[in-house]
Amino acid sequence: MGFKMFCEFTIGFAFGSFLCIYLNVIMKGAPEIIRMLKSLRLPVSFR
Amino acid sequence: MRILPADYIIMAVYLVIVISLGVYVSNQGESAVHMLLADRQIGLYSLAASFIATEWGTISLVFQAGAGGLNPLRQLYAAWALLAAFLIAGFWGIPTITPRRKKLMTAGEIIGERFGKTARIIFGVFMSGVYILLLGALLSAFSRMFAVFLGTSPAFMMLLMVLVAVVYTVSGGMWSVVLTSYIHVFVIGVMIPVSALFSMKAAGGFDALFTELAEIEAKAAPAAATLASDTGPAAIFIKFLLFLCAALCFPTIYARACSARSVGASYKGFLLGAISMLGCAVFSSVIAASAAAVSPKAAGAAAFAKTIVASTPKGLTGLMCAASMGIFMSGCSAYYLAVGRMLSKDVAEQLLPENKKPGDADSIKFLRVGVILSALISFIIGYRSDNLTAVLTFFLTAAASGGAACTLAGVYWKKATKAGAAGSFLAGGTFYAAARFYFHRGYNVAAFGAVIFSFAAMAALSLIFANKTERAV
Repeated sequence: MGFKMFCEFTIGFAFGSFLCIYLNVIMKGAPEIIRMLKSLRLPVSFR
Repeated sequence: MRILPADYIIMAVYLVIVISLGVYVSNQGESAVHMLLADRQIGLYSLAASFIATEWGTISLVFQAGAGGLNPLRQLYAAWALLAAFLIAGFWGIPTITPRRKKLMTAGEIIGERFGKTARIIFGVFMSGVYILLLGALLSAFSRMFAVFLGTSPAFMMLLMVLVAVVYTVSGGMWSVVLTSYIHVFVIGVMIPVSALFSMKAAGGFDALFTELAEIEAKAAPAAATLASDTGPAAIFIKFLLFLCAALCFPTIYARACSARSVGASYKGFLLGAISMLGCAVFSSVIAASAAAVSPKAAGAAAFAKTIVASTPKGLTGLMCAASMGIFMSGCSAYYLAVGRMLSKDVAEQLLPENKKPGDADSIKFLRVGVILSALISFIIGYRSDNLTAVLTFFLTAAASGGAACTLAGVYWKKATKAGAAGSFLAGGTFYAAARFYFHRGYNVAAFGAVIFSFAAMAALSLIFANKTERAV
């Protein structure tokens, strides 16, 4: 019983925590990437 | 196996996006800070993306597939050891805050500043060995995976991916590595959890998966209390110890922490990366547990790939291949850069006489040569080789235990000397090699002894040679 709960918790926690991190990284990372590219002063402007 | 023309198009588009982004950012001024640290401009979330992309390949595939047999239970326990170790290192702040306070660029520099040239060269050589072997193991695992995905010899595909990774690493350095990591994570982060879910479904749902895990647990239970056990408390603790040592000294971690735009970004980015690692280890454990039901006859990396191919719906195979390419290339590019950096900064530049120190432009040339060399050597040793795991674990254990002893003593112990630093690397490695290959002890005993011996050698040699070599600071 204890082992089953451990497996359930581990797999559930893994999916849940990763989903949160993934959404954060993708949503908030995009503006960061654009800002970083702007700071590079590339030939194409992002304005 | 079930690759359609459309899947090839998806993979080709992916490669084109990655290489054009990587080369696009290279058209900039060339300075060491630009190449090695992306001008210290990396934000929190892109840093976390880079952590995820780099470490996932190693954790999920090399340690799972490289071990030959798949043990999903070991991976499930190791996931928690990994999380605990990286969280402790993250909150402690050794890899993220210390180098930034000292305004240093690489892990080697930290050791060099405290323990001098010789220790820095030993560290550079050891760590380059670790990363080249890691790259070889990554290549060997992925070539077996792609053989399943493509259904033919993957030689062309592997060569193409290595070439793409080398081209963008050489041209843009850390900038390219971080920006392409974001693209890689975008694909990896969807496809790996999804394929874990599909393989769980193909194996018969969570209950079937649990039955499989419970069987492995029941088999392992009688020996769990012994030191030889793979999944017992002792084994988990030793894994935790080694993960902690690795988190405290591995150059790829320092390189990321140093390229963040602020201390806060490097601190939080590392913590986000640490939490995501639990997910990574668990997803690979789920796929490995499903492999027993879905493709029982295959072993290692091939079983991993066969399970993914058999359970993923046909339309998603191309994306799945793209995700695997992403894991492979992001791991490769970050490690190429790390080896290039170590061979140029920690080895070549230290061996040159004091009055012939190279400028920024020469440093970058050294770095590029290092990147190409590491790609070449790792390709030669990795492709079609099955026996890298034993050598790799030796190098990993020796470097992690010696490196952690040096870093910790360097930060906290004023009496530590360069004799202690050199000795800690050699003592850990010697103990591991002797225990494992001469006395044929299990991995647990050898690894635990290596860590203890490294720290003991650091303490003993520092005290013995305190006055002869250098005055305590």
